[in-house]
Amino acid sequence: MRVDFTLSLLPPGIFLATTAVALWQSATFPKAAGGVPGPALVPMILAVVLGLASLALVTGALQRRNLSGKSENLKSRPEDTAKASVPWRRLGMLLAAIVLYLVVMPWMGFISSTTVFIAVSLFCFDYRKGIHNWAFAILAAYILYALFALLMNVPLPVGWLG
Amino acid sequence: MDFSNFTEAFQLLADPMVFLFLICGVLLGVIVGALPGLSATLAVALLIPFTFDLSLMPALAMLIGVYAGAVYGGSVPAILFRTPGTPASAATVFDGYALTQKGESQRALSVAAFFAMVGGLIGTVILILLAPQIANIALRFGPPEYCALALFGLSMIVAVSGESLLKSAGVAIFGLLLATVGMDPITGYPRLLFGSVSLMEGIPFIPALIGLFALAEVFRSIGNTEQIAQRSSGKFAWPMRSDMIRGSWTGIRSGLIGTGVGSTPGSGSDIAAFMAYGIAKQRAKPGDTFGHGDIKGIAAPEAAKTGSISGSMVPLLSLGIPGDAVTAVLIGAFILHGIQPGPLLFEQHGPLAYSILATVLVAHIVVFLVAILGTRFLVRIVACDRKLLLASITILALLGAYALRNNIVDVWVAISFGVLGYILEHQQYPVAPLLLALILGPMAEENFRRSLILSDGSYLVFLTHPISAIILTLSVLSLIFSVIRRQKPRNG
Amino acid sequence: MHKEKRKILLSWFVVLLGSGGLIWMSLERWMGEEGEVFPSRVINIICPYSAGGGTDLFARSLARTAEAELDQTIMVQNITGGGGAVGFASGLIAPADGYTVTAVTFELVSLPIQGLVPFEPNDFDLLLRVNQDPGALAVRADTPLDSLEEFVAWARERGGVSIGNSGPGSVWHLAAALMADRLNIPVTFVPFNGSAPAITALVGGHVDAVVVGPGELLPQVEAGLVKILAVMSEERLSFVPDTPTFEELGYDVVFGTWRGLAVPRGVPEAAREKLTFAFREAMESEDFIEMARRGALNLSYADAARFRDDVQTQSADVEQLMERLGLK
Repeated sequence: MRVDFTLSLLPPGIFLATTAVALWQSATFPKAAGGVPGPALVPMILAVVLGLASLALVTGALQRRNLSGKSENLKSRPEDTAKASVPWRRLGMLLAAIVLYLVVMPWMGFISSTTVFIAVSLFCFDYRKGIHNWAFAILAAYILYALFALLMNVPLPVGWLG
Repeated sequence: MDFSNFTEAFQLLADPMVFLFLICGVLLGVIVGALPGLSATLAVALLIPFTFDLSLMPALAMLIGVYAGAVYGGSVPAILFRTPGTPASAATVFDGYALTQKGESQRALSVAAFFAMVGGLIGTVILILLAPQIANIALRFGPPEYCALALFGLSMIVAVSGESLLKSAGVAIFGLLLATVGMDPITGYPRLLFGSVSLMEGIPFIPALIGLFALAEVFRSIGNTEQIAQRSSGKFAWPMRSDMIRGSWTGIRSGLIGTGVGSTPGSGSDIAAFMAYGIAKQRAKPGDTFGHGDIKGIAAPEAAKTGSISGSMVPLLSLGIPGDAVTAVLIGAFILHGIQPGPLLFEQHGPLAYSILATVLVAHIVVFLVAILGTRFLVRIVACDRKLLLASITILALLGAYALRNNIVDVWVAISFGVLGYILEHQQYPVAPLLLALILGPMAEENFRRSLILSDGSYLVFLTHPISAIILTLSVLSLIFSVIRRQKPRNG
Repeated sequence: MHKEKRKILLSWFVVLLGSGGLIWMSLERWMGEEGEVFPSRVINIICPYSAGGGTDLFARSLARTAEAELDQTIMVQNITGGGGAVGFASGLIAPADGYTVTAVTFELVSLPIQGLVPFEPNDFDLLLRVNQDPGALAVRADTPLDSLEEFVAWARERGGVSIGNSGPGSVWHLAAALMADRLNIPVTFVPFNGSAPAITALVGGHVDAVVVGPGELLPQVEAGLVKILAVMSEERLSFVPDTPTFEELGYDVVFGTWRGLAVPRGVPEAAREKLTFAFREAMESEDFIEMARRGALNLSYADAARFRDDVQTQSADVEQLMERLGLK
């Protein structure tokens, strides 16, 4: 329940943070010239409206928590609990793999780093068939290279290992 | 309109070479459209040097084939994997993927192909009959009208998205605020960039699309990699008669909307598709199941998308002005092949001009046939191990984001939007308004500010221009209507 | 059981073949580095603008014709963003070995002055200039204005005209500003996102005039929708021979964009010469001239020294203009 409530504050939280940054930044934009509004007008208006909307969203979330707090012993809907269970560990693993892949690719080269990345991501998706993983990964990397670099002329990095 | 020209036109088209290149173009287009990040614009541009070695008609047939193929191709992954290949096909996700989840991907694909053809044919017929008239209306769209049009598109999608209007509107405003990142369109002042050069032209919306849909879907599926069994009729997947009838009116209306939206230079298939979907959903009858696999929810965006192809050809052929990014590239191709598009095209190169129209017409039919024949094989992809599919989608998404501008920053954009999309959907915030706000935000702001420059700072300009006043009124009405509609079930 | 075994064997085979290929590719690259005559591998041209645009077509046509001269494949890569800034920046950080050439344009001068980018034109070794497009002042064909004089008189009488251009700080914005200054007329500058939308707005009657490249106006001129009143070149243009230049009419307005090729500083002299020679030859080939004619690309060759001088002169002009426009 507690995690659920925190998660429901995440989107309005992101909105509020964006509002703050936008307001703080657009205050420094050049002023309007010749009666015609300058670059600050639209971001300012949007930031204010977004701020109000996110406050309304937070209020809504608080109200819902109070309501559900009272009726907590009543039956909780099964779909809610299913949605709430986030596979944190696997999600973190995949995100880390993606970030690492992007950092390493220019240095290692496209085909080799992509092979490793696909193999690791298969592992994250719980596909564990030993050598099959690697065969799929290396094949996919070559096909992608052919498709993007050779056919579509996309410059892919070449590092110390292909 | 002189129809004797058409016999000559179809003779030019009867050349088997022309047909061959048209089919090659369509196949290439479908592949390019299906892969996120690779766009019709890119494919057409890459083909132009290649078409130097061809004679004119096969070259044009191939380029038009790519264009039509790519517009359909984007819907294939949207229906099968919830990962649209083009921004326009993001509107097909809602009902197309819902059908896949019910095991009816084959039905969804063939219905999509059918209505894509319907929209395309409607658009082309209008193009043939009314191009000069429509071009004249489109020209009356100045800055205030474009601003109003952008706001209308956005209000449509806010009105029909998600369960809570507040959430939907919040996401849209958040998207509009993100859309102000980059160089100010009027003064060139760098806004909210924090030193980034790559984002100077704004947050690129294709990587955002890839993140919001493809990556977010991967993140969502990570804990649930169950196979979705697909029903397959084995033979050709001809669309069912009942489906064709059910979506017919929506399809025709959306084809018209698409043609209209596409014909205004600067607004293309993405806006058309979302607008048609929004209008279809607002006009939903009690029995309709939008968002849960309603045929009308596929018919609307598909017909609008292809309608907008013909629409964007209107200013191209009748004024020599590009209707969207693809036609801008097409104009370059025409010129390099020694043809000057514009009002004189029909006078100077009559048969050629009509055979271009005939090619567009035939291209839509070829796309439909290719799609129907291909459906059988496409459905088999879904039958592959879902874990392998997810890994493939992940890497294709990352590569697609990079391939758009060959810029690694875009991949980071895609990842950020992937995480954002995951969080938003987890909390039942709709992501479609965010995508549309990124696309329409710059158009709205740019034209808002431009209108004010031209009116010396008077805000009345949006109301004194009749077209913009009408469009703005409709936007407000659609939001009000949405509030009323959402409250009804609670009271009743 | 047997089938399972075969599958595993096949997988091993794929993995070994794949990794063998990788090792072979990297070995070949290491071996091939030394003692080769330039060019021994694919040459890339970075185009900082998107595929299908004017600069892209220019780069691709040039690449096609120069391939024969250099006897090597030349690939065009579109690395876009930031109004060209991203492409220029990646051209600069590429290895200075002559295998990465950048298609440079007017924006190389204007972006640094606007203070938007951390590099300057001098970070490049310019090879040659291929094209120069002057600005052109155009109005709708149905307006009763037939000459620049009438336009000036009309503008003063109305107390202002709105002139569309291709973007804030873009070459045509600056061209319009220079013109307004020399003609001494009051102007409202209306920036659009590129030339095409500006021309569309002109045809639709939402702005009074535009200043853009004459090639971009050609379809509309031929269609009788717009007319060009004057061009900002030193001599009349071959494809609009009846249109006067501003200089003929007594106004000192010579301004426009250009396209050329450059490499990052530090490329060996021999490689630079070879590239320049090859592209110069390509420029004179019939194919390229025909392409340029169709695309209304105004060819104007300048060698490295002259190119650099021109760029420096223009830098000074642009800096002054920007300051006056408040864009700096």
